[in-house]
Amino acid sequence: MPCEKYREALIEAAAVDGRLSPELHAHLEACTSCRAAFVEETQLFAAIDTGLRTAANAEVPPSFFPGVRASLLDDSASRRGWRPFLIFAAAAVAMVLTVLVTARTRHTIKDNQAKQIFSASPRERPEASAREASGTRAIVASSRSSRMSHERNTAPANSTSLNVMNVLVPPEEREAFARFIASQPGRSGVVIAVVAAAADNKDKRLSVEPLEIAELEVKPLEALAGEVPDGTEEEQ
Amino acid sequence: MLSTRGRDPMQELVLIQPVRAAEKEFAQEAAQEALRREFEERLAECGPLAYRVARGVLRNSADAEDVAQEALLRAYRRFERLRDRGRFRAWLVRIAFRLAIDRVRSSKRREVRETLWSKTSSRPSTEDLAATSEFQAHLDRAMEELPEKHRLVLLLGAIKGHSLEEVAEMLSLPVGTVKSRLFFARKQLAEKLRCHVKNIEKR
Repeated sequence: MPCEKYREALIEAAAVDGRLSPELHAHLEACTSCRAAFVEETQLFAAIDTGLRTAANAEVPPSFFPGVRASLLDDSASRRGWRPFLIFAAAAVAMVLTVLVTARTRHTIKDNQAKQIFSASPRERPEASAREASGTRAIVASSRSSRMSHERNTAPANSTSLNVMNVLVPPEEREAFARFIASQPGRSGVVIAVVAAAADNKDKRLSVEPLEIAELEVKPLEALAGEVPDGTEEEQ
Repeated sequence: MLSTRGRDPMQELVLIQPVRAAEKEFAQEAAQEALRREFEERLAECGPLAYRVARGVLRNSADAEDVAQEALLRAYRRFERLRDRGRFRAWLVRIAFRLAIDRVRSSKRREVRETLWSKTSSRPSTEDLAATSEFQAHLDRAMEELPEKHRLVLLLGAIKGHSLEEVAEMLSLPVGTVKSRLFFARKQLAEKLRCHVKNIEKR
């Protein structure tokens, strides 16, 4: 057993290639057990280093380089093989995304425009405000007060771009139709029903102005006797 | 003979374009070829290092070969960014070590999941064990218990022809740090192996 005082110093000296401090050197010359312990430690570190070098410098197997080259070739080939497919897939994804974005944008524009149209003051759309208050989500406007109808008349291009479907509903069925629209899940923002008072309009459009006939000039028959057509005079 | 006078500009473009495309393609191919040749050089120079680092961690030739191949494949994929010789070597060493450690961990996880009889399958092969002495087997086990940073320094320091400065460069560490890590790692190994050495000597 080495002396306890020098034990740690011995191990450290063996760990750093056996370099000894003068004090330790002097002690080793005097102490046999410490000298034996130092030799053991030096051998242990030498064995560790040899073992590490053996493991770390193992011969590279002959199959290594061909294996690496083969895997590189495989990788390049598979990447080339996938490239057209990837390009096609990327193009397809881009196309689908474009279609989706366009559809969504159009849908949003329609929705916003429809909301703008029907965001008139409650005074202008008493029926709609009444239905909103009663919890129905359908937007029903009569042709008399609806701004939609006004816009359709004044700006046909705009109304065409809106692509709004006008539904003519008889007055007695308006309530039922409004309830039907409200019952459609998620359709309140999309379906716009313009319930037109068709009968009122029909009367107006089909009304015929009374004919204005100028006063008739009535002359006596004697006055007309001398005014025989030219052909008759020639015959006489 | 073609005359340029009175030729339609679009026709001119059609005549010139394929030549330009071919030149571009040729230049790209030449660049690819140069890159491949350069990688071949690096492969010859650093391939064994990748294998040895992996072998040092895995203690199994077949696994080490797999891991080194994977590391080199990854290096090839990003070779344009790793063309610098020193950078390539450092990157390769780190990736080979990391892949080897991951493989050891995953095989340990597998061992836990599998039944006792199959444990031996993920251990080093019989040939590998027979090739190593009893001390070497203890050393391998002791190495496994060391912290990763100490293991890597020990491994790289033990590979032939690597000076402390080179190890420091590969690991982007100061030389002093490499020295102290080596010192502590060897001391830890000695502590783990001391009792085994005595047992072997007693027999």
